Amino acid sequence: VKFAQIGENILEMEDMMTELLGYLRHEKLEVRKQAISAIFQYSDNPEVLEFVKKSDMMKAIKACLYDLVSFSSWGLVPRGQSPKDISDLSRT
Amino acid sequence: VHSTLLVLLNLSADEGIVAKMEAHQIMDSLLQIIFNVMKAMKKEDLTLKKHLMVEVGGTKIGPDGALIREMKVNDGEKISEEEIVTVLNIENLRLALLIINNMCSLSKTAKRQFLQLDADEKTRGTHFIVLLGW
Repeated sequence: VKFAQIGENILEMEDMMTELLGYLRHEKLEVRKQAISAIFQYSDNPEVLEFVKKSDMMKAIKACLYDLVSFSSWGLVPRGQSPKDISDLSRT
Repeated sequence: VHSTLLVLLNLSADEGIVAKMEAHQIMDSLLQIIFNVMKAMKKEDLTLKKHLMVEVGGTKIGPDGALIREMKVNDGEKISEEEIVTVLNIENLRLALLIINNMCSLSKTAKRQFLQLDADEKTRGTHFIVLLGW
């Protein structure tokens, strides 16, 4: 319902981003994935850029990226394995 | 991962946000993605010339002299189930490199981190050398 409201521009941009920031920290990975897709739609909006600068959104994006890279099934890292330190690869 | 990288690509065009990206050590995650993809790819994967995002309208020059490249989702090419992991991996690698490129052009600190300049300004450049070799 919230995502539908966002799509219909019912919420103001800052309220919308605050909502999305909450979803970006959601315990379910699927919800975080949807939140990041929703943020992408607005990520070139100047108001959103200002929100990112003054909020914790970058921290949440970093955490989201880390989880997605860690548990991705796209061949980046095998399931159940922690990301290796890049220095391991640099030495090969 | 792909959506997150697309968000970061848009955000990384802003100098103030690049400073925030540095504060949260985003480059480490990007390098992690690049090196993981490099490790996962095989030679035959590199011959697959399919992309999820394609450039439209050529490169333009913005009012401040910056080069602007407009991208759109590639809806003219079918990607099979067997190809999707490879295409996503290549796309993630491409996006991670573009974001690092944006970061380096807007921040000396990011450039120093990517080129691994140490205290006496000597370049170790391991990341760069590994990428070049690949």
